[in-house]
Amino acid sequence: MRNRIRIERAILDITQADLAGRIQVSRQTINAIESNKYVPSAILAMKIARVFGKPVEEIFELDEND
Amino acid sequence: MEARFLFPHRYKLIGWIFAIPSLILGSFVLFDGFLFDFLNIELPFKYIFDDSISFGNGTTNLVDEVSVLNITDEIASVGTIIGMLLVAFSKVKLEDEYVSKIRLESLQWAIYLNFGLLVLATIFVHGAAFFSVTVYNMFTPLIIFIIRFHYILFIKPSFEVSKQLKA
Repeated sequence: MRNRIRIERAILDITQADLAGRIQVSRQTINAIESNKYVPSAILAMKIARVFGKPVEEIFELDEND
Repeated sequence: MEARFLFPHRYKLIGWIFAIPSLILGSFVLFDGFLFDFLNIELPFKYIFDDSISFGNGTTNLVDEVSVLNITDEIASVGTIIGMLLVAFSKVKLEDEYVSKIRLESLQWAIYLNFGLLVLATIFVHGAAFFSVTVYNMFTPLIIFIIRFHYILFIKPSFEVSKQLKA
């Protein structure tokens, strides 16, 4: 799964730690998701999308391996 | 996130406080034959699991009617195991689903590596020396787990940050 978290973060001008704090996860988790090492659960994906005020599909999309 | 079967975060520090002195004491017992004299316990009967064979320090032998035990090594082992269990299975500051995944993955890693090493040791180490293998093997699963879990969660990301800054 691909995601646009890094780009969306840049738009809002917030750090990984800021985003992590808003959704109550560790900074390592955001880092792992951004570098495509970890696919978040549906709950976490929806929380992230809510921070950016966009639907989940705009932040996350399936790639050819999924 | 609800994390089950984990100790509160503050127990991690308590774990280190138990584990580190016990590990140091244990190394002295193992490599130096070091024993605290005041930890000798004399039992007024023949205790089948006494120290006469493993240490052979001449205080008792197999036909005596009393048994002398030294519990330095027992304290070191139990302290190390309890300490490392607390370090391994205390919550991190912010428990989330990624941490759970890393924990589970590290546990699997530790079991694979532990038994891999055990198989190698079984093939290559024979005779009385295999006793040392079984002693190390009491601690290797926890040691491997702790190293791998903390490496992935706390050490590896900081390498990546410096790599990103250079790029």
